[in-house]
Amino acid sequence: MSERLQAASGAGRGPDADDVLSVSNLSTRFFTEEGQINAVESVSFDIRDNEILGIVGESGSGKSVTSLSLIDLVESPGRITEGEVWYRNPELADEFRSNDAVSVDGDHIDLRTVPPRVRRSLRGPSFSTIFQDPMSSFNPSITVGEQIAEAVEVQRRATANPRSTRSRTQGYGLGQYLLDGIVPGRGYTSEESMDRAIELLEQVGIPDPADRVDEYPGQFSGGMLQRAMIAQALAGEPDVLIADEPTTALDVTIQAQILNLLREVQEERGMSIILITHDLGVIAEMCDRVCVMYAGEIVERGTLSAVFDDPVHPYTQGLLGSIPDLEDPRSRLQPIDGNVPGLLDSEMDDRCYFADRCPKAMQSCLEKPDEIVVDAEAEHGAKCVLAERSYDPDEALPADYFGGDSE
Amino acid sequence: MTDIDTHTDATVDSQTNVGTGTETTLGGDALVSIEGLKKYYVNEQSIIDRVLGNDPESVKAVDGVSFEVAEGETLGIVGESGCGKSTTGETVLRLREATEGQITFDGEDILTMSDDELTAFRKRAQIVFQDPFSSLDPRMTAGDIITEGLRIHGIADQAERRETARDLLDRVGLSADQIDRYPHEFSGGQRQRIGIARALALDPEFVVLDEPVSALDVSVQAQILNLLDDLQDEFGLTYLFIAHNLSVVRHICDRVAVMYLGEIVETGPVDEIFADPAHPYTKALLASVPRVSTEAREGDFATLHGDVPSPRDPPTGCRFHTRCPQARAACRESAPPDYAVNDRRRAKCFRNDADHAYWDSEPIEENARSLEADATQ
Repeated sequence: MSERLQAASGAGRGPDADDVLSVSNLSTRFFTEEGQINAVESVSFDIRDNEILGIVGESGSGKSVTSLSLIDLVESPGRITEGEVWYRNPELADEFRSNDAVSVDGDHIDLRTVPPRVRRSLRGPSFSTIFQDPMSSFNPSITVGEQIAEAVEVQRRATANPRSTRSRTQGYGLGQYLLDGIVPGRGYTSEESMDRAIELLEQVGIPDPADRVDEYPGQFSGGMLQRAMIAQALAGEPDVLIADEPTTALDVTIQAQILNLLREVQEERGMSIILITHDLGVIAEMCDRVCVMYAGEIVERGTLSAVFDDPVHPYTQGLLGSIPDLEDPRSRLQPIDGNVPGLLDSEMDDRCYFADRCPKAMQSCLEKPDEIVVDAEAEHGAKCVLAERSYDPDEALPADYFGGDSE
Repeated sequence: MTDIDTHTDATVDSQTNVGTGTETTLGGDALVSIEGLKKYYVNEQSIIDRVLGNDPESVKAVDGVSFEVAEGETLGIVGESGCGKSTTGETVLRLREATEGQITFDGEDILTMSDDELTAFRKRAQIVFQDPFSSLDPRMTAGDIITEGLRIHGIADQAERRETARDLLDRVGLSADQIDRYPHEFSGGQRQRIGIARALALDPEFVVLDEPVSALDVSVQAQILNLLDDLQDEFGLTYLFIAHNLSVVRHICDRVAVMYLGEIVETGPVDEIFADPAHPYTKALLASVPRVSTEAREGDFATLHGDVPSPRDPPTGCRFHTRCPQARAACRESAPPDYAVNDRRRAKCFRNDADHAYWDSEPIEENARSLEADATQ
């Protein structure tokens, strides 16, 4: 097991057999006019069969960019500068085994080395995403049913033609478009895919699905639309579902419904979910394993109980201390001082990125810590020197070491 | 609304104690008292509607709300989006005109105040808004934003105002040197501190906090909550704290009012309500909050199906009956009055009346259905 943690922390070993997805040393940078922003900094983790992996962090910690990087949706000026994304798919691996430019390891294939059109064709049938804001993720001028049916159609054409890794939508050119404009009834979707859309809507708990497929997104409430987005994501029967803050825009009672639905869907289909959220409560309710992100790095990881019950990294401790407890309200909160750093490359010193806010910053924190195994059994690791030594006040950095600019 | 009458009885005692214009002492006396407050948003009538004589459609954002805020306490208003909690907060300060009802602040009726009286009142009552990005003028410096109120009320000269701004910046945990910076140079948490400093500049007694931490990250949220706590002790402030996050409400409030579809369904001390909710909605809200604990994972934690109905056309009878797991036929027929659970708590649910016909009526079957057969609108 400790080997596994080592692998996850980027020691350069190949993926394990039960890893659906294994990410190693993934870095994503944004090249803006103000300078280079290191949104994701050498992140490594894996997603196994049948599990819900939580990624938790504050805004600007790089959790969303990490998920976008997985499915190659990072847009300019952002670019994935480094890293491997190993995806388990025997067919795809066989197809590219003889290709020298593509890295293949057993059943796994490194998606960073395959051509972009292959990566594109995997979106939907292999990976699906549920975004935070359902209102802005749907096209307001197309009916909900039509938009789900499109996803169904992509999957249908993919299974009809499994060996082809061409994107299923790429065959649709100008000629087709003009033809569709003139000849009626030549839509991308068909009767069958519409029926499937109704079925999917029913599965995610939308009442009267047959009537509601013909409604527009504006006629759905936020919770209903989030259900519809889950239906759309399920249309492709993906191996990995990425849920990026799926309940942040929703009220608590609706949030509970959506979380239950996600859990049901995961159990029924045996797929893997990456759940990205800032809400530690959602993580505690849903996840098997957790990664805590700060300033583009995974600073602590492990099973839910390892990370939540015995946090090692002062940032994780701070996050947990910041939450008002519903059961014990009167204790004073223990917040983290200061603010989330801006991630501008020129302002990031080569040290522990949390040192300027850390109550236990020491001399040794001025050097960048490696991930240290805390408990191999629980796959618990932390990027903090406190994982293997205790805090020594004699070595503490003076309070104004970082210019005293923090609040 | 029948419940107004029942509520008045209970509030008579504290009403009579309210001093008229004089300083009330820190204790149980009501600083702000709201009676039967209603706020309807009326749609523009089209010409055809006017010709046909159709009644304009109205959204009943707040529909007969009564509560009190005692001097020095923090009253929380909690509810889901669209329940009317923000409208209530804004109407209390007369930032919106009430449709009906009575709001008394320190013995004076706010709704009948003249402009001059209103100006004087606004010196004593302030508000902190939810979104620290849109509630600060991007073209004003932090110092100008904080002292704008002082300038409008003609208090102190420029040098003194600047000194006040520096003090306040310091007090809310910012550096006095940041006085000449513009909002975009601050982070979300720092902007919210500026918003708080602005509210404190006029030395108010009463502050409405409208979701002051919901736009902030958890670690920053905790800083602001601690700050609000400290300021309340230091300046003897009375807070009306509007929030949707129950953990935050539990942490900061003394008493809480739970709102659903424009009505307050339950009020009482926060500890009692959270320990033993008397209204099924409160119970469901509490059960829906994901706990930050690794032990309590009992599978399903969703207890309500469906969405909040539209306030344009609220359900008849008890407004919660369409989603209530314990609803019975009686709930559909008449709206429950505001029952006293004990001398500190009230709840609008028949279940608090042991002799009510509710107990003999038929349960509403479809509400007991599971999530798969989810019902909406």
